[in-house]
Amino acid sequence: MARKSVIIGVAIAIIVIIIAGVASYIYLSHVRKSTVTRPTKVSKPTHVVTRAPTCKVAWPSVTVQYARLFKIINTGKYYLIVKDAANHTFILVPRGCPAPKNVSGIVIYVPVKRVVYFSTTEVALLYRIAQALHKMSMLKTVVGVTWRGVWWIPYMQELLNNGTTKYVGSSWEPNIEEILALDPDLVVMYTGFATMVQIMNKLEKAGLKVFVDNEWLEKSYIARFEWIKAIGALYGPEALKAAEEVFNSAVKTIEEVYDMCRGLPKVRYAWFVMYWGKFYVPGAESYVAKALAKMGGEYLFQSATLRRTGSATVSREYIDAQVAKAQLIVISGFPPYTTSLNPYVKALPDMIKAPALRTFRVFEYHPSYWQLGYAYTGKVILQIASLLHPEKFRGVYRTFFIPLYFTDKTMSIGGVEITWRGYYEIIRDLYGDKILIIPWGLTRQLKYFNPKVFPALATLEKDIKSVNAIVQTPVRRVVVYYTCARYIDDLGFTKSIIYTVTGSVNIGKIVSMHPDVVILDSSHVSKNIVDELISHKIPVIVLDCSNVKSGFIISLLYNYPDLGYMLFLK
Amino acid sequence: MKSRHIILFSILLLSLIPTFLICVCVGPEYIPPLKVLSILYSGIVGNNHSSTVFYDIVWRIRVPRVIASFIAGAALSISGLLLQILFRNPIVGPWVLGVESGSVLAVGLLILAGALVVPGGVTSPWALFAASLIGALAVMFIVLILAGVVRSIVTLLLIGVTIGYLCSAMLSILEALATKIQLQAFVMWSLGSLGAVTWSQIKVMTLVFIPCLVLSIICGKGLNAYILGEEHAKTLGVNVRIVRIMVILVSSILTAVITAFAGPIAFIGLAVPHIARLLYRTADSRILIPASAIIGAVVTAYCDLASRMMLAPVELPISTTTSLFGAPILIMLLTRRRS
Repeated sequence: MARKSVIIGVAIAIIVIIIAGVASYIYLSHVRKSTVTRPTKVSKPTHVVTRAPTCKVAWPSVTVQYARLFKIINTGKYYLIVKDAANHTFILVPRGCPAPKNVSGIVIYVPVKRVVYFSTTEVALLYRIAQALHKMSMLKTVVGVTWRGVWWIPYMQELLNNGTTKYVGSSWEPNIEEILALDPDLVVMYTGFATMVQIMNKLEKAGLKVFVDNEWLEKSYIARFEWIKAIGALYGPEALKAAEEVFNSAVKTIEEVYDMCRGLPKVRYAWFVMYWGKFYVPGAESYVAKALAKMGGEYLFQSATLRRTGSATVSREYIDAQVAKAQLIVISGFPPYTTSLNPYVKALPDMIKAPALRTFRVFEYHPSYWQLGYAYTGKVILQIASLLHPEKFRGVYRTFFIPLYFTDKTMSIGGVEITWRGYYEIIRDLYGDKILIIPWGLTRQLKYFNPKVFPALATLEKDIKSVNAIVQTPVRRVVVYYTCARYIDDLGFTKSIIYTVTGSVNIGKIVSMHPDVVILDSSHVSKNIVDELISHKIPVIVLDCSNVKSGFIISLLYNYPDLGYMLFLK
Repeated sequence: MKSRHIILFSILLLSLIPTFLICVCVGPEYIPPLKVLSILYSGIVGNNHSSTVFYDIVWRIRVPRVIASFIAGAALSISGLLLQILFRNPIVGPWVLGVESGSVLAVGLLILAGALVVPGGVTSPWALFAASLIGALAVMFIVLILAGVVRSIVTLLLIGVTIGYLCSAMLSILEALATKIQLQAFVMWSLGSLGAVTWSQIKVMTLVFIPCLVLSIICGKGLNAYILGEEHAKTLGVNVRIVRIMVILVSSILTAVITAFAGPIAFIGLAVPHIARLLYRTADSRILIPASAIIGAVVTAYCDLASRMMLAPVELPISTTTSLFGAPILIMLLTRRRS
């Protein structure tokens, strides 16, 4: 009896232990899953192979010509191999196809559907591909970003606002749990310095697939832009093909620009920025300096210790002495951080002597440069060429570079009073109407920056309330009185004229055209007509078209005060 | 005062002149020394050379920079010396006690928090100084309150270091919340440089520095008594409380004004008082205060010169050169004293 009880007891104990063991296993598995905070849903089965042998996907034959930090290896099979800047090998397998068995690397099923991007420049490249394919829905794959400032890439702000795209912390301190919760197929990030490498390691340890895009370390504009192919590959063969076409088109544009610049007179230029009283310049071997050298630019910061690819902090007196010789100055800052020439001239007493200041040849970046500029490298090069040789490159729309002026200086040109406000200006035309002329999109910044912290924005806010109309530059749809049209022709923007007024002003017709601006001649238009147009929210500028200096006012509408000065004021 | 001290003082005072001239004559942009001297002369007598690039470089860039380096070096050295006396500890300096960290945090708040509204904008010299001073004083008062609770100097120093870390942690939070541009601005400022100092900032620095220098010299006698112990000082009729408050205020203000305009400058506040002690072989504060000021001015001026000339025209943060040049000198002097 006693023996039987022992056997039963042992049996019960064994059963209890087994049950406890199973329960513990289930419990611990659950705990392990929940600690990585992945969504409880099972990952999407879209790439589950149902009929493996049917994979007949052909990748376009794409080679990497300029970039040195990534590779694309076309295997001739249904999968593509891409090596990123951290030398990770990625096997890009079209969804529905099996992962190759004898190839080692990180398998990514393409097109990727959920990606966290660390840099706006990467999203910009994706945007460019989406635009080429007319598939803006591709941007919805951007599930996480590390930038919560102003987005200049169309749709991105909307995606952030409606929650499709989440902010996952700054790039230097990302919230890894949040990234895990987004369950991304891939994280695209940049490295290049220790902190970012540590972040990459952390992400990888958390089980995420990380694609390192170090386009910022490439040595030329073209090489940087070539990373569009890497981004394209992540979205499948069609996107890669589109990326290749976009890239080739940009290369063609760039080569044409370089050809056009051959033999043109050299232009001495200074390219720098001031932060907190310190001056930063790109090295004489940097991609900026190299590109400008090909376009006839003569870089003023050529000292031996500056013969490097990166940028450097340099002495104020060195900048001061060199900048005094500059025919062109490009400040690599942007509004609302850089809003006027005044602090520069205060810090650099000899800058005022620079020919660039007399001839309205000081420019800075438009804030969109750091996003859209990467998507339109061809345009960036073309616009830089137009800064160096405005006469040769007439008619090139300057969208990434905007003129920089003094603040609160007033001058009268052709009877029109201009009040310079640093990065925009207010004109009082011949009928006394005040028109605010500002580079495109910059009024948006009032939504995102505190005017109390940025005094220039407070002034802008005030100015917006005090003017009759706002014109955003460069203007692309212009209605002009025929006597003023010749100035637009001289500037090379004839195509921007959508209607030339030759006789009486047809208000209805003009209103229906939605022009960016209407330019009228004071001797042929009455104040009543102007007021009526303004009442329809059409910006109108009234000039004396017989006065050649009016051409300068028009040049401001195209961000071409330099050419305006050469043609109409000199 | 011993004759040795008088000779040393004279030499140090005179050394300010060649230091000034060397630092003004040498720069990334070569200007013949005789030309510099003629520009200096014409600027002093009021001849109009204002249209030349060289004139602008000398009078609007180099001269204010050298003057700023003199004031910064002198101020940080006095601040370090006063703190070393107050805490009766040779390894105390504005950084060790967290005073500088407090200043950095407050300026960081100003630059990074963004929402802080300051008349004249965040770059206004007075706003920077006010923020820096508030940060320095806040940390100093915390350290002092804790000093009343904790008797051990070592513990107090550890508290200072911990407060420094606390400030760094708070800065990290701010940095995580900041935009890239704000972060960049703050990093640039925190690297420390005298290159951006303007005449208007020098005015502020001078207006703050001179009264502090006078006050610290006035406190000299009281400090001498304080070195021997609080009880001893009281028996000599010294109001210990007043001396302590004065020392805290003066050292915090001096640290704050320099940190605000030049960013944190390493090593000077810690090392220069030692160099002064070793040179003068005295503990008399009335001698050490002006001596530290002059030595600090000279050392900082040369360090600044090195920071702009080592890789000219590329400029190094001043803390790099103050550490590179100062640390070996200090180690050498301390080793010699032991032997």
